[in-house]
Amino acid sequence: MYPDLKKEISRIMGHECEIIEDKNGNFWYHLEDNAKMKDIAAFIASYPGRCMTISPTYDENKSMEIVYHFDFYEGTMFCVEVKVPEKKMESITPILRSANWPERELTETWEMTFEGLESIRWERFLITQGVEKGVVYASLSETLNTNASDILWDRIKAYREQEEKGGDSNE
Amino acid sequence: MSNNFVLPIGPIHPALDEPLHFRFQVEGETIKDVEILSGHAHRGMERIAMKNTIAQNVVLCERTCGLCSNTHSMTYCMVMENAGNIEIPERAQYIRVVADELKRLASHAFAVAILSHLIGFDTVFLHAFQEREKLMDLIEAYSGNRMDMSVNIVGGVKRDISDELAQHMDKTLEEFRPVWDNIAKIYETDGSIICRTKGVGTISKETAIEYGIVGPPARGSGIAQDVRKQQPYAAYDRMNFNVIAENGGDVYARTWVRIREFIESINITQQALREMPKGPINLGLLPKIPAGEAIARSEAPRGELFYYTRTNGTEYPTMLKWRVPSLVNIPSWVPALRGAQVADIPAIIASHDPCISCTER
Repeated sequence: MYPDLKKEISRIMGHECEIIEDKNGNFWYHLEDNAKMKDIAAFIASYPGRCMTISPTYDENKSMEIVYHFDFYEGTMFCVEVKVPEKKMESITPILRSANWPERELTETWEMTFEGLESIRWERFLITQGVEKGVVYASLSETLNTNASDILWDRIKAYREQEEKGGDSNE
Repeated sequence: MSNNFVLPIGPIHPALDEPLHFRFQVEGETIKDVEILSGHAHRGMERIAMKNTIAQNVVLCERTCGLCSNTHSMTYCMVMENAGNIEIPERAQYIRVVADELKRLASHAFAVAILSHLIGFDTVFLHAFQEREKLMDLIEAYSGNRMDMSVNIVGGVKRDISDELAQHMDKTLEEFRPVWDNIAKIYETDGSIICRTKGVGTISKETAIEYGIVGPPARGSGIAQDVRKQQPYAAYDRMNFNVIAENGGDVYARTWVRIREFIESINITQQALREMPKGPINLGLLPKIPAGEAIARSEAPRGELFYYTRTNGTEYPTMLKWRVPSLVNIPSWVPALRGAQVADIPAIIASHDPCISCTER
């Protein structure tokens, strides 16, 4: 059975909370106290539910926000919006393992810091080491850059010049 | 001499179709642990999407992946339609179902064929691939393209299905049933397939929930979750079909889910073709998308596909983010591979039907 989100979130927050339903039936909650995100994750995990992904975005003042998207294997989605002006949040991966790769992805692509997120051998997992953190999404030509030179083209030009001068270019 | 060693595989390897790097901790032939590294082909598509106009992104999103291409452009259009509070014409909803299911059929046929090839059963590989080619012909007959159908636009679809083509599709799909039943029978009964797939790379239901996996791998682990039923979109709420789930959680179950879903997809496509109402297929010029925020999800061949957008009333989106099924499915390979044999690595990976092109958008 789909959880009573208003009741559950109000219980976690300790006061009555407003859950907004959009026209497609998805539920949205704007979290003011970022420290409570771990409690919300624990509720999602216990249901059981999963973290579908985490979306980065900006508010009207260009301050960063992230949106956690959760699913309960039935019904519609539950989204929790959090303001992160410092680009810092506590990791929910220890509680909700499905948040693991979404958190790592934001770490690399938006330079978010998720405190408590276990480090991995290569540090990076999605973007190559050669690309500066936080400036990604880098372009394909940058991520797949191979060392190219003009040597071949210079030789062709040299041969052509020699040919034009009437010399032997048959090398 | 110790039997423990580290076995690096990839990112370029004959048994891997796509670039991933694995570092296996091996004891003899048994895998004790594995670390996975992707990131060899990241394309920065989400960054490009924020510099494109809303209309241009339909084309960009469709190029996220070859096999799920239509689902990407459709879900992108859905998220923009949600942001703009746009209701698309009913005929367009049915055409989106037909286009989506044709791609699912082609994708599932591909996945079943590749798995058969990797376990050395090339008869099924050739059989499934031969049949897939006929599906590609249907896709081409409708859209003019084999991979990127390019039929979705914000507000509907841009290419109609004529009565003649609908009848041809219906008839061709009917001819698939006995052929696919035959492939299913071989897969279900052949000893060499069973011994290479049953009990191999098992993911329990609890582990599947813990990792939040989606699509055929989740349904192969007993989770009857399918966005087409859970949160219907397009015309799926009017389609009569079953969500296929198996309890084995192994390579066999994941592939068996796809084989059974093939028949369900034929049923859905035929229903949509037969019940499609007459009428317009789109809303004309690109509707204006106001400032807002929206989400949308769909069931791609490989599992749940999710799009998020924030718009500001201009023709450029403030934010566009999409999450593909492979991104959430790949971490679950770790428990699937632990305890497996080295020789089973390709089959276990192929049974998840991963897409690195999607994962590294």
